[in-house]
Amino acid sequence: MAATAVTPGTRVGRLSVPGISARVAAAGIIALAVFLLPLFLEEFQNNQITRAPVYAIIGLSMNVLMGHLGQISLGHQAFVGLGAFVSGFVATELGLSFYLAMPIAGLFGAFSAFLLGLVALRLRGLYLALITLAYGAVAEESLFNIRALTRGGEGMPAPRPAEFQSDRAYLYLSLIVLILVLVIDWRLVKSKAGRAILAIRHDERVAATMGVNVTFYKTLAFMISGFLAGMAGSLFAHWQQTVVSNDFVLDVALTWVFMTVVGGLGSRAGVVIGASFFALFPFIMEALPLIPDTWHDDVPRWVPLIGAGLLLTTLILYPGGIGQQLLPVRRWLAGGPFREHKKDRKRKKQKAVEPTAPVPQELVHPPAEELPTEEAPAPAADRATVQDGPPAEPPPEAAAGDGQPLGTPKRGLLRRGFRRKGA
Amino acid sequence: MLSSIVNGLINGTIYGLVAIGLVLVYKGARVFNFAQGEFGTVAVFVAWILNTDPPGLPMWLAILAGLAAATMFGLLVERLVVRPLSTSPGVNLLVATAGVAIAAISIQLLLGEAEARVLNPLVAGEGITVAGIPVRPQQMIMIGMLGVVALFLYLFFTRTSVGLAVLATSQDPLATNLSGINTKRISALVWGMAALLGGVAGLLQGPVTVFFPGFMTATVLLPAFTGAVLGGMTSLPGAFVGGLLVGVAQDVGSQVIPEAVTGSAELTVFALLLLVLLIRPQGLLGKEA
Amino acid sequence: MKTRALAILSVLALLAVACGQKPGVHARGVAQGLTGIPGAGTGAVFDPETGQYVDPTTGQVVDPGTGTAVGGTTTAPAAGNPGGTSTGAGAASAGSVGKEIVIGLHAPVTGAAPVRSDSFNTGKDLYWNFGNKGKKVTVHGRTVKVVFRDDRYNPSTARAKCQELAEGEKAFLLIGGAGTDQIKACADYAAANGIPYLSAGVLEDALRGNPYYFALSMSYKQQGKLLAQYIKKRLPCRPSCSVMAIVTDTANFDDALQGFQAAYGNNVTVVRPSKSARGSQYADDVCADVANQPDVVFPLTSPTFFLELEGSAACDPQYVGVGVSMGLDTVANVGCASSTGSMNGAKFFSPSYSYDEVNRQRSAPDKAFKRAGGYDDIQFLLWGLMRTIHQMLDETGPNLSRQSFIAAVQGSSFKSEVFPDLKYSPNNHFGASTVHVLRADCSKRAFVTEAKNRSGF
Repeated sequence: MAATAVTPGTRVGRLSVPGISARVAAAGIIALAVFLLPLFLEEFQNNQITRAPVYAIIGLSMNVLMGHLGQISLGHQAFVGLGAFVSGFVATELGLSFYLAMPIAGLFGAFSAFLLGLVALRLRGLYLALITLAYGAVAEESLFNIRALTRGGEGMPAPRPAEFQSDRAYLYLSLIVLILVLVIDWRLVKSKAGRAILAIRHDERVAATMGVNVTFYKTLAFMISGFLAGMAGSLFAHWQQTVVSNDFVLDVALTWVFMTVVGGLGSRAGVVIGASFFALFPFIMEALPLIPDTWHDDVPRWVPLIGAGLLLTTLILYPGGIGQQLLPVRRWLAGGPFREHKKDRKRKKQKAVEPTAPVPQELVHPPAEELPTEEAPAPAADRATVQDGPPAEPPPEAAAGDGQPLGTPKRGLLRRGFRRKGA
Repeated sequence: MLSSIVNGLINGTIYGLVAIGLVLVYKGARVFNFAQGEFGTVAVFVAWILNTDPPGLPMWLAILAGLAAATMFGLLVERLVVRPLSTSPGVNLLVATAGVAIAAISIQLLLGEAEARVLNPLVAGEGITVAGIPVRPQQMIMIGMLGVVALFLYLFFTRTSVGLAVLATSQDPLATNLSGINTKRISALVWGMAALLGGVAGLLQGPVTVFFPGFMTATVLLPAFTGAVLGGMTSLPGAFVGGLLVGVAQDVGSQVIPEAVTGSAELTVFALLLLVLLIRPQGLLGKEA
Repeated sequence: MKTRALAILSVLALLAVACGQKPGVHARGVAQGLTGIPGAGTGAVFDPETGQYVDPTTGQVVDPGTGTAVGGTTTAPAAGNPGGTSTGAGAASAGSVGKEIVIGLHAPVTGAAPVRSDSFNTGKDLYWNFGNKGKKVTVHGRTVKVVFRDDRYNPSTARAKCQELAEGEKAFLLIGGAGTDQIKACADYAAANGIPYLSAGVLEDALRGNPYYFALSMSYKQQGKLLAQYIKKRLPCRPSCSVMAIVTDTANFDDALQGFQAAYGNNVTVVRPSKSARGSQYADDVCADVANQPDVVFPLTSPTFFLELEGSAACDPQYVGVGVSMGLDTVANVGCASSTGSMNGAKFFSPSYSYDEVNRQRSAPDKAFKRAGGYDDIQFLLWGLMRTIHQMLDETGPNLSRQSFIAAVQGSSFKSEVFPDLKYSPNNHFGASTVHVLRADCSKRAFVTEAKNRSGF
């Protein structure tokens, strides 16, 4: 085992055999559980569970925009819905194969996002949020109701491909697409484009000084997000086998925002888990044996309330969401230590530490340091190295101008380097 | 065309009322309040519950209770949601207000089912006719209230010291705090006032049409935002004017755009919002973007 | 290490997919046994997409009576699993019942309909618990349980809920409470899985070829012809009333609108709002042109849309209509409360008569219903519906299976004394020919019965 000083967040050099096998076993058990579960469930349950991978893909597409690029998107239903209707239209009206319909849906989603991206080049912050909200609302109320394109209230049929007709098969298809999207996202973040996009999120001006073509990469991020959203929409359409505009109302879009935020912006695993939770929670509630029949009607009303509650809890107490809580697990699976070493915690107590080695983006969120005056977290509590402090009044020195020193305890949703000031 | 304009102006009064509340919150807290519509719906529900048998209280009493409920809701939101997020970037609070709106709508659904209901108007009767458009007494009251509220808030911000304190808090909370002003109380005041205004808007709109859980957010909020942006998010007279203009644009747009295009009203509002934000983000009467 | 793990996972996934399609899953979906049911015994399966019978193994269109191929082949969905759904509970041989018959019921409780869920939940069981002279109803020794699901006024949700009822709750048959798009979606699902499906009459043309569907009252298209007669002969503005038909823009209402227009003739203005539009936006369509306000407005929309329209409209037309959910007392209650006052005197057809009439206790079902503790019109509607179902189950006899049920019903007549009299035949699953006429009375804030059991005016 490497015995050199371990600065927080860097990978441990060499793992021992038990270490590797433990990690592989854990990952394998999770994967097997997910893939074998559908074989033991009834078809209608498989049908219900398919909502989870579909929502997860939607969450990942929102993560590209909100997590990687740092732009707010309150109207994502525009892209997803467009993808859904296009896919249905292509499959039903044009009679083309599902395997053509899905990429075409993705392209339409990308184009729709491209248009929004053009607007985003001019607008920032709150105003952009407002425009995305309006964009989504308009898509749902106007575009998705044009009967010639969407068959109005009757809904656009979206038949499943012959190879994936049954609910079980379609669930596996959705899982495969989810894995595909995860791989795409993983490669994106590692690529030059991904680094550019993340740099833009941190500080646009600095990124531009570094030679990043901000316009190009911003637009690219929007288009990738839109493409993934369109594909998710296609998957959604053929899962439900009918698409109506009512499937994309404002409540649904806000639920998607909530689930992505609760999942943790920037964290793939967190977003997938958050989305799955939001997708499956209504069915779990309904399936609980203690629920009397008459409560079935109330479940859809409790669900948004609980969702909103989770959102508020996340924003106020744990802005990193589930992803932040998962940090130790993900670091461990990637080969790092699970808990901090005692000597590292003590070292952090003594001075505010700058990370001395380049840290992989997925593992550590800047700004990371704790202030000298704060108590170290209790050793028994399994905290991530970069836990934000409890909500506190900003210390006096933090109020200088519009930048803020890196030691701020409160991390923002979109992880900008500067405090909000006006719009 | 004239009847469209008149009809639009009448519809626009509610947008103006809600827009004024939005501008108030923006001036006081630098955030877009997506829960502004729900302040109104809460007031309407409480008033309706108290006005129907049982207990069948008289309408004016039910209205007062509704306004009180809305104000308390606003103060609660301020204490539980706004204050902890005051140090975070603005988008956090924005998403949080959306969460508050969704939570409020869910509670309404749980307590009251999804039915459409009617709130009795304060003054029943026929009303007058302007350019062929009938105007009910309830709507005339709304127009009157709009003027009163706009004037009151304008004077509040420009003539009173409390108003000045509110503006100072939103621009630089720390400096204001150091000057001896209790920013926590100011924040509570801003949100309480905004909630009260929202309640007034909701209670005025309720009798004009049927109401259901979340009706303000579903029908009025986006046009009100457009009106606020059009007039300038920092300008109260702008909100007043912007709301009316949005109402007119909606009606004229529905007339002009052919029938085959569904949702022409929403399209017009969106186009207007986009144009304003791209061409003149500070709005007609605002001073800063 | 990562790429290898991914490769292993993908192989696992592909294996799982291959295993997922169990052998014989298609063959199980074939109707078998009894004659008298189209397709039964010949192996042909009904494909709701194309409205034709196909041989599941070849995908060829077949004649349901003989099973021989007819003309060309059909397209994708039929070749294998028509409608693309699982056939877990769908095989027509399944649904043979034990001691308890489970009935699945779906209706919109959230969404755009003011149907009270507490009325629904009490009403669905009322008949089965008290319909046997105040005691529990049994049918040839079996008890009946009704399970209800909210379809949220959304056709894809309706389909998923019907699947849940059929497979999860093991429902023997399915009933659609209200909501045309949702009824169509569930009817398609039921047909693809061989499940009997009944509802109050809504759309007609698309369901005519569905052998598993039975309408318990006149379809909107059939009612439209009667409505045209009613307007021409009974309304004060006759003989030439100007009518504005406001019909939600969905293909499922097209046949109703065409039927009405064909019967009424000229002088009908048609407005087609989208399903998510707000009624208040259309108030101007009705009233703004003061010189040309219609005498009569025929709303074929969700009740919430109609209430918003009525509450915002500044003029006072005569509202008339067809259907199930417009004639509910909740609609009258809210509509009468609005300040416009135009709800008073509105006339709607309905499959059951008003609760106001039930209170008079003039007939045996009225008395039985009141004794059972029923207290509103939704419950009475369900009472009448369940009474009809009881008669159908009774007619089927002790040898109860889905095929025997269909065979029995399509050869019989039923008289529930609440719902219209029904007379079915193998070629006609729309067995009703009468309606009740309800009128909104705002002094009572409810509907009263103006006429019962009318087949013409």
